[in-house]
Amino acid sequence: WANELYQDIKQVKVTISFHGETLEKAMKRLSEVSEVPFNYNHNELRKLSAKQLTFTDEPLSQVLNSILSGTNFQYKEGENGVVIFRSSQNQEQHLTSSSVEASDQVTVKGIVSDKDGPIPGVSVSVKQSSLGTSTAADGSYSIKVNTGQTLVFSMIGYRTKEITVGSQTTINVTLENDITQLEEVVAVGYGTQKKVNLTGAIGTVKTEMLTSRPVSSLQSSLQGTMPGVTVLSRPGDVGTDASNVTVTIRGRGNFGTSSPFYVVDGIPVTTSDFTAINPNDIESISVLKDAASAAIYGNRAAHGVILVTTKKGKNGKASVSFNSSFGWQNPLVLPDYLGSVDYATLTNEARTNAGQAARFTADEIEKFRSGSDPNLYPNTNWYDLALRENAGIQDYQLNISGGGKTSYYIGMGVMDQQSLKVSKDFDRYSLRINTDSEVGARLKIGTKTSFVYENLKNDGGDFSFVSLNRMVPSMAAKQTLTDGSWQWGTINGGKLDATLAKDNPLRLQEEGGLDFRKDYRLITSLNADFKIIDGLFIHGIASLNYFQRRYGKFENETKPLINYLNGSEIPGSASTPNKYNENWTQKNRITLQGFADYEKKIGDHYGKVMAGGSYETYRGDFIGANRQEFVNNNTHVVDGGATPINAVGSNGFSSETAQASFFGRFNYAFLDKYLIEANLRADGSSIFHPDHRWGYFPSVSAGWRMSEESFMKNISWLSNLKLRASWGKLGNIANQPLITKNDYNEPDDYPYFEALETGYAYNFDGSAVNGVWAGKGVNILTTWEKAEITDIGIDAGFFNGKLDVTADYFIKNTTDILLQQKTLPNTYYQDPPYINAGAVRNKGFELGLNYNNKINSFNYNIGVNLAKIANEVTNLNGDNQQIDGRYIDRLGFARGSFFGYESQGLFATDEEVAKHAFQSAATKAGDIKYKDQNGDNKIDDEDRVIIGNDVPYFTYGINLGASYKGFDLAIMGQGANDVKIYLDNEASFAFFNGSGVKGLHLKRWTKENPDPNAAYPRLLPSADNSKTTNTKASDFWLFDASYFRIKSIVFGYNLPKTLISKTPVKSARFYISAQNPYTFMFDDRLKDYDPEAPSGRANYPATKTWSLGLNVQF
Amino acid sequence: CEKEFLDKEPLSTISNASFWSTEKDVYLALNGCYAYLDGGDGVIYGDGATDNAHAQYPWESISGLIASGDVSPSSESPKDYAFVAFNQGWDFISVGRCNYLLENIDKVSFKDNALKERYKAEARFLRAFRYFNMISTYGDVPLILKTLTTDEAKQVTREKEATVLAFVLKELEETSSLLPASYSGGFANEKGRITKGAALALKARVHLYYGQWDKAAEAAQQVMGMGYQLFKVNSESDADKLDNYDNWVDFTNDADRQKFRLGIRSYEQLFYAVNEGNSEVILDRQYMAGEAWGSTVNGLYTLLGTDAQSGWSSVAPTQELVNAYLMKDGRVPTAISPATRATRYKARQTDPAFYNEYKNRDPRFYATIQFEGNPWAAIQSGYVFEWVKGGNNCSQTGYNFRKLVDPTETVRDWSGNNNVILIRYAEILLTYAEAKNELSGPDAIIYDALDKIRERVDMPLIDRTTYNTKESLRSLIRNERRVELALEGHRYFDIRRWGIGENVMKTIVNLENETVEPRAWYDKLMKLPVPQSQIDLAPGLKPNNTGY
Repeated sequence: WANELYQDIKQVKVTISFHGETLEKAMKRLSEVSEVPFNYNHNELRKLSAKQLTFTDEPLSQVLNSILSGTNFQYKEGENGVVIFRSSQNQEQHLTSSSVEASDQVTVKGIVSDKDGPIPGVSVSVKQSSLGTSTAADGSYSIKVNTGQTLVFSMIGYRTKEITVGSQTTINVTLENDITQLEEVVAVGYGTQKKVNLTGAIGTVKTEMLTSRPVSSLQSSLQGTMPGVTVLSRPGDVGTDASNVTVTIRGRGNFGTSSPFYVVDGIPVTTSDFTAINPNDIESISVLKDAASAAIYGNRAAHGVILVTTKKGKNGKASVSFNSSFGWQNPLVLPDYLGSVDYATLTNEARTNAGQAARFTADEIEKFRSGSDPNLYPNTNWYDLALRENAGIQDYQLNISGGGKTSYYIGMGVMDQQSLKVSKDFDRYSLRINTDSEVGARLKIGTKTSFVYENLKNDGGDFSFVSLNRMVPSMAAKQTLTDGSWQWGTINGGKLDATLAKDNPLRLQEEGGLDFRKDYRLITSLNADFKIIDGLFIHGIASLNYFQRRYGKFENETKPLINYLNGSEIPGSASTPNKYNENWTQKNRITLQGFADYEKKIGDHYGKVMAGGSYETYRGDFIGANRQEFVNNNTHVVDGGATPINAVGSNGFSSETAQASFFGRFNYAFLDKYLIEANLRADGSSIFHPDHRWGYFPSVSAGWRMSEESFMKNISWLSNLKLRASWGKLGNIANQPLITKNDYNEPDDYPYFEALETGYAYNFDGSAVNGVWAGKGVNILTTWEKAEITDIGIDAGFFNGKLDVTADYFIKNTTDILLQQKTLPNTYYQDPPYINAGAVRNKGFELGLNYNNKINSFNYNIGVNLAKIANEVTNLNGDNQQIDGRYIDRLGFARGSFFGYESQGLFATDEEVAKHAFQSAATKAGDIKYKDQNGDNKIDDEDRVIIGNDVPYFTYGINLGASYKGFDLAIMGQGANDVKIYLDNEASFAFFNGSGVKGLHLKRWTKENPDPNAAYPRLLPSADNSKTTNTKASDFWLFDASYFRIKSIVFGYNLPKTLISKTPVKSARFYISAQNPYTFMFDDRLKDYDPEAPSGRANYPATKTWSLGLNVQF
Repeated sequence: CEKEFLDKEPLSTISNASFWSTEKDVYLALNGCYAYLDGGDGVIYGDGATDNAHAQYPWESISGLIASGDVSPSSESPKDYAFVAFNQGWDFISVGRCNYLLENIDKVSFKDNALKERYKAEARFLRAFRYFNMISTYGDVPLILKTLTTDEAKQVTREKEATVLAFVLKELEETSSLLPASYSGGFANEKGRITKGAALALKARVHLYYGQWDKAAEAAQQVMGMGYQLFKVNSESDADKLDNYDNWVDFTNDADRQKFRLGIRSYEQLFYAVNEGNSEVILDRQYMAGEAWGSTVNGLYTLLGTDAQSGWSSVAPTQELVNAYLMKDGRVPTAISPATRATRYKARQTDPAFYNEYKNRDPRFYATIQFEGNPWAAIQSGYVFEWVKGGNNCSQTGYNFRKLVDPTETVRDWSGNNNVILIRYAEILLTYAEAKNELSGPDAIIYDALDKIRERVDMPLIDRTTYNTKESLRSLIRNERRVELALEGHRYFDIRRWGIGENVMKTIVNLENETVEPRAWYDKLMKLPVPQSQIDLAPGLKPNNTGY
């Protein structure tokens, strides 16, 4: 419903005329005009005619009384709106007067209820007769039927149930909610829309899919839920979800950020604000995918808009629900590092291959094997020591909602997630209070306030996964002294190794220091809806989005390490002085929005207009201070440090932006069959030059509800069919530097602004001096990037709504892509300016299928969604291609293409090397052989070709659900196809810069077995390997990252009502859930890597989570 | 109204429109030029591409590719290690900043016009210094003397090496008369700025590199009259006294011992932070104590130090450099074959013959090279170098550098605060000696110049009867230059201008006679190739240098 603010129908006034139509039609129109849902038995009311009456601004109750007087029907105010039911008195009369007593006639009694309790106003009729009644306020009914006849229980919002009467006289019925497509309402920009009337491509997520999965970011919960929304859930440490989980709608649409625009309850928010939303507070999520739906958000909508509506209070007695879950996270895969014996053996082999002497003697290898001298010849499993085996995750949620003229919703949540790193922990506390009040008959005022506090703390020092991967097994973690005490390990395979000793992650965790990050997010808004006349409302929202971050890091002073071999201190292994750094960040976004809408139905014509404007200002400030030389490691406040000039530092910066916007929408529907919508938005942004500041974003769309045509009415298996088409223009400003830099470091310049850089430049005579220089290229012409989307879609329902199908085909042309000019030689000495250049086309197909059915009391549903996108670079600022390391953008090819050599296996012999095109002087048998693409008999840059792509352009999700009696099961799977991952450095190469060896390296090429198809080339020490061409970008290091992953399995059990009926508990459910329990990978070689990990090197491992949960409602 | 709502200017930057109004603006812009003064950490990688040293990590520099002859247009200096380029390579930021200053400085009126001219001269020197390094490395380069638009930047072409050379020399000549001999300190007169001596000394170097002997000698002689002196110490610190050299040198008496020890200290401590700005320094890249890994500090001890000293052994001395050090008495040491040395090394626990090679050498050997058994108490009490063969971050050759490492700074990684000397007086003396000898053969001033260098480190004076011809003196001067200026970035260019690449760029081995790096010489290595990535973006840079 348009404003969702109806509360008390006595307050609702309507203007309406009745002309003798059926009572059914009359109620339908009354429902539409009053915007109050009506529940009634269509069959019954269809048989009666309404009186001819006209009402002008009369209370709804008055209208109902008048129109129902003299009928057998009464109305009452139910929880779901107005309920029209047959009055019992009249019913008795009706029954006695019209029914014939028969010998096999019985009186059947019972109670009709849903999962929340008895429901009044349910129509109970006898199939193929005119007999019928409806349930009373307590849900009870009584009806006389002949045995063998069938009772039909029906009510809007519930699935109709039929029961054949046998010998039983009591039939209790539980109806299931059935939010049919016809009534489903979807949030759109600046309002809502009935789903059947949508003409754009909008995806919605069911809230149940969000709440039963223990994930720490909302983005992760969207994965696999709808077609065309690609969520890449990169593995990442706790508290970093916002940066690891990327959401793209309809493919990578440009060369930079193609992140969607997030709006919560009408307020623009950042990606990390979205991440931090408590899923339990969410009423619905709409994803605006095409231009028709998104254009109303103008210059920020090019890559889709995600709208979140949070929960509102429900009238009546307070209802309380409590949810909690408790689980364990384990690494999904860990790098497959081999132990000391293999490490030593392969090290020797690598050195031999490079013409160097062996590093380890047979004797030493034997010591690794036997473990007889663990101080000098250990076999350390660093991952085991540095990471938790089970990291806990806990979640507690309490929601209270209720109210009368003022209704309220209160949601509270506490989440605690441990990192796999022993000392690290992440907590999130959230509180939401939403209220809605009626202030007089015309004015409704609401507030939405959300406060989230996130605390990421590490009570020990941090270590990087890169250095963890360089800890070789032959390095001792700790060493035991003769007196039984221990010291940190300094010996690697019998020899001092100060580098690894200093990098020892165990020592860093224990002695390194501590750090914390505390984020405070307050998003609060005041909204008002004022009714001027029927159908004409004005709406206003004023909001504040306030963010504060406090970050601190203390680096301990530590003692030097002791060389285990000779007991002397190792220079440089101490950390000194100790230091502390603290930063504060504050961001303020104030948004003022006002709009009016007016809707009118005249005969078969329906029209609605909406128009408004908004103004947003943003200001961000950052300030930091640091000190050194604290007395000891226990004081963690800035002024605990020393005051000499070298020990004190500070920094800070500020930035501001503003945006003004005007927007409007027009909807027209004829006969509820032919639908047209048009949108227009104008945006002016301070980040562009005044001459290039304003952008206009139009869209049009149309829909045809074919199933409403008379020629289709008789197709019984087709319950709904709608064709949609849309076109529109959108903008994107997120790629300019002000926005793209991470949350923490907002930069301080605009791409058009001729700014000079200032800061530390040089030291003169032992003192630092500042300097000024022109460091950034300026382009005053920069403006927003444009996206034009054409979309054709179809929505269909089959078999009485059991099967729903939504399919869309779209073409999205992104042009004037805003990016830093990549193609400047360094004779342009400044940072390249931003330019509007380049174009990308996405053509895509999206399909969503949902099927639900039941076999007796076994209910099940199957959902499948998939999206296939063909991405093509169509313009590169006049260039044919742009190479960026191992990536290339080339006209006619997709974004994310890998560029490198095509491998042809390994060289079996040195003769073969000599015969082949020249690769490098260091190339020998066992190295990777590359294809000489241009036939010039040497392998160089000219031989590189496109060898793969790292963007999953084909993604799919599968949702299965089933319930039987009290049990329910939900399985969600998600996959990607046709995607590659490039692993380099220690992720691929043996011994890379001191790292160890993995299982893959056992399958290497050897002199004894010169297999040209071995999985790994000949082993070489890191530096020697770099001199061969083995480490150049080639398809040898590309792995097939296609996968299918069971994202979650949830198995639940509801306590039977009989068990809890005497308690205040309305329902109670226990569940077990598994997150990421199984992953099917399509590349055998990728066994020790997560397919969703980013191309590159070592990273925080992906995790799987097992948890137990409880939901209770009071 | 729209103005009020939407006109938000960046808060933390200054606008070009409001700049260039005061003298202080110019001062600040000139500091921005100094920020890119060549030198610092990158210098040592020059020697890594020569017979002096081995640069073991291909991800830090392209020195290994150059040394092995594998360098190609596509082998660019690793970007991840921005701090370790090969003399910062093909880069125009320094030039661009100087151009920006020179284009705008005349917008500002100065109280004292001489100061304006001095500021200009400093910027012109910095630009000329860059261009000299670029032509020495690449030959023809674009000569950019103004700020280019994006389109102009894409259309650049290369100017002839001789033209750029002439430009560099003209700039140095002109600026030498505009710059003061020294600075008094304080705002705008900080010590460490470009001096007249620096301009003349660089001019001498440029002439020398291009074989213009007369001009080189002339410029060097001008500098020799400016009062610079070789740095010397007269006493040892307590820590230094702990080093025992009696195992290595056969001292005749205490005075002999003392002179030897002070020779070592004078040479090595010339580079220490505590002696910054000493009388030998003509130009240095200034550093100061600051945040580890920050921009105010250098990474020299981290790059040169041993693993046990928390270093990376990134650039390590070769046996060839060890061989270059004369005996303490000035004789050439007896050569030992790598095979013999390997045998002795393996047997060193039982037979000390291995150590004989390190005995009675030039004191600079002990001050420059960490060899098995060399004591260094200043870095740690009782410290003696031990080669951990095959160890993590350990030298591949068997030696580590000691020169340039300030032992007081090995507390944290990458936090060296000693200035890196770019031009020092000893170079001038050697330049004079070489140029004058090439010009007119041995003379007394040449001998005096060389003797000063020898005297400082307690090496015997030149035997004027043995080295009495241009040819014999030439070989002595070249060896003296190699030893005195080891690891200071000269060897790379010296090899090329002397045409000895083919003779010296031979595969290097370690103490056990195992190959450390196969090396080769090709004539194309006289110049490095222009990076292919830059040619792709600015095709006017074609053709590349001969041989690539």
